[in-house]
Amino acid sequence: MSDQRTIGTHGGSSSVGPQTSAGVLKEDPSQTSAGSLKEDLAVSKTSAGSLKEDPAVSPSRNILEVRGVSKSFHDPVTIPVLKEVSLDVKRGEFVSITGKSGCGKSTLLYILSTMDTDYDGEVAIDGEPTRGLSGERLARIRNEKIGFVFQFHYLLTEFSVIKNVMLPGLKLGKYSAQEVEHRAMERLRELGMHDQALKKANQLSGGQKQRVAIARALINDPLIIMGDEPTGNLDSHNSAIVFDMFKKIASEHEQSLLVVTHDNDFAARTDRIIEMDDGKVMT
Amino acid sequence: MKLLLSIALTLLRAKLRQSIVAAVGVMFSITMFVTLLGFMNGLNDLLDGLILNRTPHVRLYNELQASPTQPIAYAYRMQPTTSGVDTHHFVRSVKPKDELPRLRNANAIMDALSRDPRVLAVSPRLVAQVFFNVGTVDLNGQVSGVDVMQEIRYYKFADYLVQGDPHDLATGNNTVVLGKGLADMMEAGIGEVVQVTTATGERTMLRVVGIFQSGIADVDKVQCFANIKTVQKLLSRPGSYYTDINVKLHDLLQAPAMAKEFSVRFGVDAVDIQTANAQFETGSSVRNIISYAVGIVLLIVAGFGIYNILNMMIYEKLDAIAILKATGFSGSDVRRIFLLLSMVIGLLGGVSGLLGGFALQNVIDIIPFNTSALPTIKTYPIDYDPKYYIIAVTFALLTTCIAGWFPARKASEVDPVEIIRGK
Repeated sequence: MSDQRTIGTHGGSSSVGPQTSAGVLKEDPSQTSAGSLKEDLAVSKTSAGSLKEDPAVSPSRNILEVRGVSKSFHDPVTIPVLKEVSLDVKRGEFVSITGKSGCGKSTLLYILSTMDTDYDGEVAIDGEPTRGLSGERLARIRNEKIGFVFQFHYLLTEFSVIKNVMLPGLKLGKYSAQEVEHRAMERLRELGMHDQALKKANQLSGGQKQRVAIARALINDPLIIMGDEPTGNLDSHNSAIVFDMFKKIASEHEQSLLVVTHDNDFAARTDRIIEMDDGKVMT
Repeated sequence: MKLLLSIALTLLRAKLRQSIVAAVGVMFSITMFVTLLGFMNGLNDLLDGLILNRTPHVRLYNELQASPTQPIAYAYRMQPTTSGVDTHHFVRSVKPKDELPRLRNANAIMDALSRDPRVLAVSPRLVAQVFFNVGTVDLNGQVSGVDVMQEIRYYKFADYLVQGDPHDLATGNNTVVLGKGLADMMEAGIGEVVQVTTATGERTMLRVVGIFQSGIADVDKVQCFANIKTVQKLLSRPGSYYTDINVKLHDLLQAPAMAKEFSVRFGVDAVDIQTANAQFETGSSVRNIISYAVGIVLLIVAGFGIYNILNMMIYEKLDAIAILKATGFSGSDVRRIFLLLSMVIGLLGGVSGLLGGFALQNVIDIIPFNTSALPTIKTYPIDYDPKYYIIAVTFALLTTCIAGWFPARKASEVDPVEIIRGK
């Protein structure tokens, strides 16, 4: 889109006059000559070419931009936990954040998730700065653009598996309830959980719960999925399943992943590792 | 909103027992509120009706009394005194003028009154003091000549007849309805003839067509009713001879003002119902205040129950609140969920409370209640006015809203990061 707009303005301001630009052409069709039409076609060809390039360009687009984020806890004495953290996450990238306990990696994740708003610096999600937005707006961003997977599954035990997956979709309101249900079923099928859909959430095993949580994170096709130790509570077998699912998501749907983990094997298999120590990004 | 309601209902189902306890609390208080008000107002209406049904809103009459301005006062007022001091006269034992206790120009007054839009009904009365001759004994009595059809329609005359048909009184000549006490003393039943002597010594025979019981024993020992024509004949007076005009108004509260107005306009004495029966008004309002106070206290207690249960529920559901917030529900969504939850409890409790109240009212309504003072009342009185149901359900929703507001606000302020990281 931006390419076309640039071409349009360029044509309008050029000395060649009204013939070159499609916009002016509409204003005064009588002055159009055959030659200028050819020129127009040439212009549109180039713009089409640049559009074709777009998918190749877009993975380099930053889904998440973090600039100079700092945070301190003030209880009972002031302790800085994050110091001038800056990082980017590109589209389709699978990034892990590692570091020792207490290095601030989880704190950073909750700032990036928009749930924690008490920090200094800038965080932009999909190009939209989140600082100073209302609670409603932030909730909307979380709903639409971010998916969460936590260490402790955190399913709503009162609801069935399918309803757990559906809730964020129903909240978004983009699709009708039937469509949301259909999509939720699709996600569960992808994760091999479709036969458990009508069970209550607390009747599942830990690994199954985590898969349902992933399905829930995916229901609104978010731009980025964030995980706080998503495999921390699982055995190696289930960890491997969860990792493979994440990997599949990142490659298939071109969704970014940002996962905080202790598990070095897990981290080693991701696209990029961000190592943190004492509130700073090391790599 | 539909989504939030379905979440609220699911949470409610998950905590079914606690929710039912909260709803039963509301139900109990609404049941008691409705029953209490219905019963209290039924009693109020009954007791007030004892007097108010039988009493005109404004009574016009002519009181025989000495003229307040004596002729001698007119004589001296004309002459200014030299000393500048007002004169004073000493005339003792002033007697009223010899005149009949009748309303002058009664037909014209009645015409004027019945054209007044504020007036519901106008009925004349003629009261005569008589003696009932029983063997050698004379019993005191007071015969009220009434317009029977008007009395039946506006003063519930038929309700107070324990025997006989009031229409016989309207149609028959020389018929009388005796008070129960009086009839017992004379051992007079329906169809028997009693002898009456007027104050001027004239004797007449009257046929008994009914027995009347007002509920006030002293009244029943002297009070009798007859057709107004019968009493006029008894007293040998013409057809326009009335001692009282009873006026029933559309609005009872206007009575004091209108009594004053009529008194000036027609040059007669007038007394209004509030002045004549002030104590009934007071009793009713005190009973009303008590029943409302008890009902509202019950509702407040139920409100505290809801507050407690919601608070507990929120404490147990911190995880769920955190996860809802993390997946895109805002603080106000969470607040609405818990408010809806509270209102569902209030609505369920309120509606079942109304049904319970209605049932309990029906039970009270069939409990026998016999008293000699109230001949037509066989069971406890209940006022089924829908007004009380509306008030009750409004209060139920209001209380649950307020009781739910504080826990709901607390839920909306839950910090999801704290909960999720806290584990």
